Amino acid sequence: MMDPDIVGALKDIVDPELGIGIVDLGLVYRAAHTPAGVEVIMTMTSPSCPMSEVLVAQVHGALRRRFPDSVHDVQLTWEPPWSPARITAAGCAQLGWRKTARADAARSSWPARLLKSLVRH
Amino acid sequence: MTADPEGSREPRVWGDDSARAGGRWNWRRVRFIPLAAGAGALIWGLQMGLIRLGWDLPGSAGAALHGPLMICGFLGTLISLERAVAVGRSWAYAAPAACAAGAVALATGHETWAHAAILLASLWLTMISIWLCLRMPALFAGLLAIGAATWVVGVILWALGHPMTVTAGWWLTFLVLTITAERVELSRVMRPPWWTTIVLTLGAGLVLLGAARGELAQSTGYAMGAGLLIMTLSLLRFDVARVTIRQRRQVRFSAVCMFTGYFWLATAGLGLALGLQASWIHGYDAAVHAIGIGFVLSMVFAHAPIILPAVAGVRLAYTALLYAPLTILHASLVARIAGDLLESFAARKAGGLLTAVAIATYAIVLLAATVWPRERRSILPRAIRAPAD
Repeated sequence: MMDPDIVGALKDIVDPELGIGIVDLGLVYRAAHTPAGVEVIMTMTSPSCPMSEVLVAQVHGALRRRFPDSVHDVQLTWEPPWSPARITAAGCAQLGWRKTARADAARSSWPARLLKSLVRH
Repeated sequence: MTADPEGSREPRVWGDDSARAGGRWNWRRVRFIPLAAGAGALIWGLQMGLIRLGWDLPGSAGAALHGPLMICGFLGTLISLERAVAVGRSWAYAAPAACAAGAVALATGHETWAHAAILLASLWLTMISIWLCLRMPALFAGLLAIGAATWVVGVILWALGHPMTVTAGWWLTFLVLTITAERVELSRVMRPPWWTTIVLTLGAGLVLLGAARGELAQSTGYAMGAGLLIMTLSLLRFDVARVTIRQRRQVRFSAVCMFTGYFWLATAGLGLALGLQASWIHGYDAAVHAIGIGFVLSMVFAHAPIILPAVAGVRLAYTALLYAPLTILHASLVARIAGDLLESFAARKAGGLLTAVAIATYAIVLLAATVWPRERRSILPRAIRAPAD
């Protein structure tokens, strides 16, 4: 669930190494209003990335500015793990490739494609 | 907003991670301790390096510790701290704490304690890396774990009294694999084809073989040289820096640092593959510093403004003036390698001094840009205002 208001508040938070927003990178899994307040569940590109505290703090800051009267719950998760397939079309455009189903399929695991080609022939 | 392409898997939040999401700000001040020890090791290691080049400075008795101070005391502490911050668990901080203690022991002449502390740090970092690998099995995670293990091997050889020429091969492998792993992790956004996994694994394997054979000190460096070349070419082709170099400010600066670093890594690989480290009297010095200064320090310059805020909670400001110390750094390496090639003691000596100047200038410029923000810079004379980026 991605509430457009909450996502809009997070649009300006950028991964400092890539210069691409965390929303466009697909790092935000859920952004929703709940009875308790505002809930955001996010991840990082990998568990070995040391930027999680900084980015989570920036998310807190953005939510405080946009929703000053709400309680904010920002949670970090590693399930499901992030993958490049989660990058949005806008993020793909910044990276210089077009997000299509065909592009996703072309990057599917090589054992699967090898098996398919063997079966086809 | 694009629909989740991976289906409707609900995110699962684990207790420790959700607690971390709130931010434990008070612990970040404690991280200054290993950071300070690492900085101290860097300064003392630079001084020892200058003494080895013939500069008359105090502390000549410890000149042989230049390599351990720079690689274990400074870089080992920094890498351990970065990994501990990423893990976010208190037990992970044993690695940078032990490394910092080792750095202090080294600088104060307690070498046996330093061996023990740094060995503990390297083992702990290896354990952390394996833990991360189990959490997210991937090529980059595997390279991080293998890199940490090569640090362990190097420390054991050092403690047992093996020549530094052999130990250095393992320690440089640790640095090269660690940085390569971080670039591979970032560059997943470029969606490299499946065969890059095989290429990078082959390259890493060759570098490991070269370290095991002690090729830095041998007459031939085919394995390590070929491995470095293969890894560099693969990284160059698919590194996200190819995209980020078109961006602005800090992001572009990082990309420029990356490409200059790759140039030196490829140069070192080519030199080793051609066996130049044996045909020059100072070939070993050229190879080690092409990797250590040209590649590793370039990466440090690229990432310090990003990692220091993450690790220490300090706010740093980017300025285009950072290109100046980067230029000095690479000029210093050109001078040093020219001195190695032409057997010019003066050029090597000048190159070493310039490297220290580059590092000091980088720290000063970063500090000045942070303390003296752009809007107040207009009082400076026009000649030394920051150029537009």
